[in-house]
Amino acid sequence: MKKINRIIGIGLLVLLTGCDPTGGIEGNDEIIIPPDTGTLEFRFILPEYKIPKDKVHRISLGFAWSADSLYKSLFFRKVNVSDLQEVYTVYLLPDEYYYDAVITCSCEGDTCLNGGFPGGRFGMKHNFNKFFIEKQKSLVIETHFQ
Amino acid sequence: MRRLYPVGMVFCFSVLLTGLISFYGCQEDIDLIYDGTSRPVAYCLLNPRDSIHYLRVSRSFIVRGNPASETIPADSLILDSEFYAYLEAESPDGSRDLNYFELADMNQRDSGRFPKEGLVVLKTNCPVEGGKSYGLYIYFPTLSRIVAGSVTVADPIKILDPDPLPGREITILEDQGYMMRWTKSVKFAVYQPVIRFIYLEGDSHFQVRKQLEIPQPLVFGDSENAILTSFLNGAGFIDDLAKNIPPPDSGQRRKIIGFDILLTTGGPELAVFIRSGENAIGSFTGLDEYSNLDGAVGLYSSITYTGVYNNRFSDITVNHLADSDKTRTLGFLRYDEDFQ
Repeated sequence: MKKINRIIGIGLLVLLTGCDPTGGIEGNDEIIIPPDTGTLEFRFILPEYKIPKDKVHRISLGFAWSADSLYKSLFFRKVNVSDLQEVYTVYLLPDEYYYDAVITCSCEGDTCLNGGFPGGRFGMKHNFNKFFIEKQKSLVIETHFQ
Repeated sequence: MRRLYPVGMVFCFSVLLTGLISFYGCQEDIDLIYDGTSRPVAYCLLNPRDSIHYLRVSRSFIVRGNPASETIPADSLILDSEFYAYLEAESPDGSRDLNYFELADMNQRDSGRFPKEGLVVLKTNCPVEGGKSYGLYIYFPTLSRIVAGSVTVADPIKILDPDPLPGREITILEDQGYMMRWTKSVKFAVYQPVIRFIYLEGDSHFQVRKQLEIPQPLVFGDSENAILTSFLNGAGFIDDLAKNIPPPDSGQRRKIIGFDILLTTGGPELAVFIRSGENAIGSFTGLDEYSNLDGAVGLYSSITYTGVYNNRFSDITVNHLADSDKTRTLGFLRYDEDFQ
């Protein structure tokens, strides 16, 4: 009898806690993935130069429809980048796209110039390329700066 | 005869009791308000980014009538007793520095319904450091009474995101928000970010700089995380602009300049006080019941302000605010347009 009571108790516990449809979803952080899109997991990795790590910064990450738009900085979407976040997830419709990831250096003196940043302090380095998004598939891109 | 004696007693008592109830039960002039003695009321918020600190000292009083509409006589606030107040700081060598408050000449004040004549505000010139403890003492020699409190001052924090580096822009759209990040101050502190949206309004000849401040929800630093965050919802932000900025006058346009983030940090005592108002902690219902000063009603805590200025919006955001259904009537110029 005790065994049956325990089984019923565990069953009720599973029913009460397991059916909560809101579990794990919180307000604004709720992510609704459109069914027709694919996923881009963009790993915006900061390169290692002979520069203090906290002096190299992510500046922008933009997506363009064409190479021409990319060249003219006509992006249809820009991600809010941060030095504290490396991976950015973007949902895009299946198509061909171009990305442009930009970094800068905030060291004083010649340090940035020696690190290869054109013009020295606040000079920018770009990493851009073409990519394809397929429906319901995930693509991973990692940045490689010179 | 013996048996009749208790019956007579019961009868007599019943008559007496009925008489008493009849006499006192109908009395209507029961004094519902107890005058009592008033208590000192003190407020002091130390700011580690300022060397001048203010202390407001008054007393509690009873409002007969509706407290929301009743006019408050100025002298109701003034504490009759003589007192002196000081801040006590511990020096590195273990000695204690005393910094006495003196009367501040306050010609201006923020909004509020208390009469200015009744506000006794004192000030002291004493730099305070974040993370260090300071005692506040108000001594009433004639009453042989002392009001005392102690706080650990909130550390000034650093805003990590946004970081207005050259070339870095913020995109806010209906479906794209922004995550603000900052370093943690003392444990259990409370934070309030405010977005200050800045734009120019006018025509090709004359423009005026205008701004709209949009307070964001409070963030309580209860977690162990070293970095705290507040998510700015894109749709909510655009709704706030549409709701609070009226369409411009005829012939006027607006150019978006950018935005500042202002972050106010309040000490743990302020956090508890704010929560007491929200009934988050069941036992508190307001300042009448919450005080972190011994011997007085009031609040002794710390507050500090930090800001990140001149953050720029991306061209996508500027064009969206110029063209979208919600904000089209606000007259914002597109990214590549100028006053004509």
